[in-house]
Amino acid sequence: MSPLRRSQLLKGTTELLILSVLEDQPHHGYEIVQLIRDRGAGLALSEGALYPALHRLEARGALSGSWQAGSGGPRRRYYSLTEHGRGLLADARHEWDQFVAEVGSVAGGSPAALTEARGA
Amino acid sequence: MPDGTLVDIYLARLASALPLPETERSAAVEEIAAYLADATAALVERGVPQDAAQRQALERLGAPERLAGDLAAAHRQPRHLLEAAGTALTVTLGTAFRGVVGAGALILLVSLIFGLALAAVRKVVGPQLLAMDWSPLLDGLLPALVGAVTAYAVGRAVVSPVSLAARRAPEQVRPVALLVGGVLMTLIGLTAIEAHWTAPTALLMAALPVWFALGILRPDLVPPWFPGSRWMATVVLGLLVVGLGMTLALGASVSPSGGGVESVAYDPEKEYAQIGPFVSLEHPPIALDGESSSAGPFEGPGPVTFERIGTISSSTALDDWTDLRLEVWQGPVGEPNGPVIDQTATEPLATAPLVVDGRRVSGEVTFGPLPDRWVYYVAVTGLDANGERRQLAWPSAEFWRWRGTPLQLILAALR
Repeated sequence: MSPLRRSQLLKGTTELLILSVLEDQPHHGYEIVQLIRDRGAGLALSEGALYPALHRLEARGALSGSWQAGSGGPRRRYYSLTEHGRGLLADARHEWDQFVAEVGSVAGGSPAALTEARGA
Repeated sequence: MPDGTLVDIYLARLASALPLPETERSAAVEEIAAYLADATAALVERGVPQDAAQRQALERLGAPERLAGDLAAAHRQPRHLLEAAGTALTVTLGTAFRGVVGAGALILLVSLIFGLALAAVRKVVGPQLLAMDWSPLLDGLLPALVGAVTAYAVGRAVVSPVSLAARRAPEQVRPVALLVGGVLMTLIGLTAIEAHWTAPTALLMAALPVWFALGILRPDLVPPWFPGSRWMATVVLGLLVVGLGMTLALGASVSPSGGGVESVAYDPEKEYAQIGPFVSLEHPPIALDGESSSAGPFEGPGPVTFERIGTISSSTALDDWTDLRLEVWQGPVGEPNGPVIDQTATEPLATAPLVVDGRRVSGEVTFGPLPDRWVYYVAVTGLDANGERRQLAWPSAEFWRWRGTPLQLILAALR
């Protein structure tokens, strides 16, 4: 898939990706990008979109940010999921599953197969 | 913050384009700086040269102005609109107060120095030097100048804090400020201040939205310290020192009013001939009562009503007269210094019928006063048996100075 096509498909999923990455433990911006890249096997979230999304989620109460001193480097802002954020993540996952199933039913392939593919 | 010119420039551009309050802005810039440090270090670790690594890290963030806009949008909440309105009000009132006090003090200082200097020179060369009506200057130009300076100061001061409060770029705030402020300034300029406006001073005052717009679009025209607190303190102190010093030194009082009005030979038959000849100056058919004259305030935008009550000299004195009426004729331009009628006028400003009740006559005439006149001639006239209009009572005059808002001046001019 071309980078442009991939970027277009990623639009609208930025918040889901961020919330998912922060589900287990807090991370700062650079780590979030790297984790998405690593887990997504090539999913490249734009850093220019990451920080506005982080600030938006924090303003909505889904994330909580706190500064932590770095080892020798500048201090960094770590983001963690709030209870509201966990609820938002659950909703976002549900919507994503529905979306994948609906697109899959039109584009071909069974929803079960697509879900299985996502799990793999 | 990472070293490197490219990164420094990027962060400086980001900070200047980020319409957020200082704490939020510095936090956002620090966060981006930390990201750039991490991203650059990771790339350098993979063997990318430092400069190229910085460039790649910056490219991933995109243009700083766009990032600033997206970050500001992320911080924006509905309550910020209310905050922006409150900020606009606070800044406007604060700046307007400082502008009125500062500009007013400056103009008063200049007027005071000029008045004292004029008084001193008049002692030497005589009282006729610059003997003129100064009231349009003091009661028209002064508020217009203060208004212009204040409107400019408000326009210059309002955009930046409102932009921060609204979490929007100044480019987005300016059109709204121009529209809302322009409407308010137009209303204030046209209707807020009553004075003895002349056409030029009223135009200066009505141009408040222009000064306001100039403040928004060209804030660099006036030094940034004006009208700051230190500047105002200096002006007020200067006002006191100069005023006190010159008063003590010259022993002169400030008297911006013009010199005395010269009286000229009075010949009603000649001076008011355009209305019609007097029937008799010695024994007029109608004697006006003393209380006919109007009571104050003798100034305002009008309309004005003058009343006349009188007594007919005998029961048959007006037998052959018809169309008895009151007439108001405009006086000369400015302060009267001779006949109280405009020698070029060919028609009265207004007329009203005179009611006869036995030997008593009465009438009221209403008219719109002219902005540049101080006095109006009120005549009692009638048509004699030959159809000639003549004056039936002694001449009388009323003083009325036009005073109002610029809008009322425009309406008076249209009348």
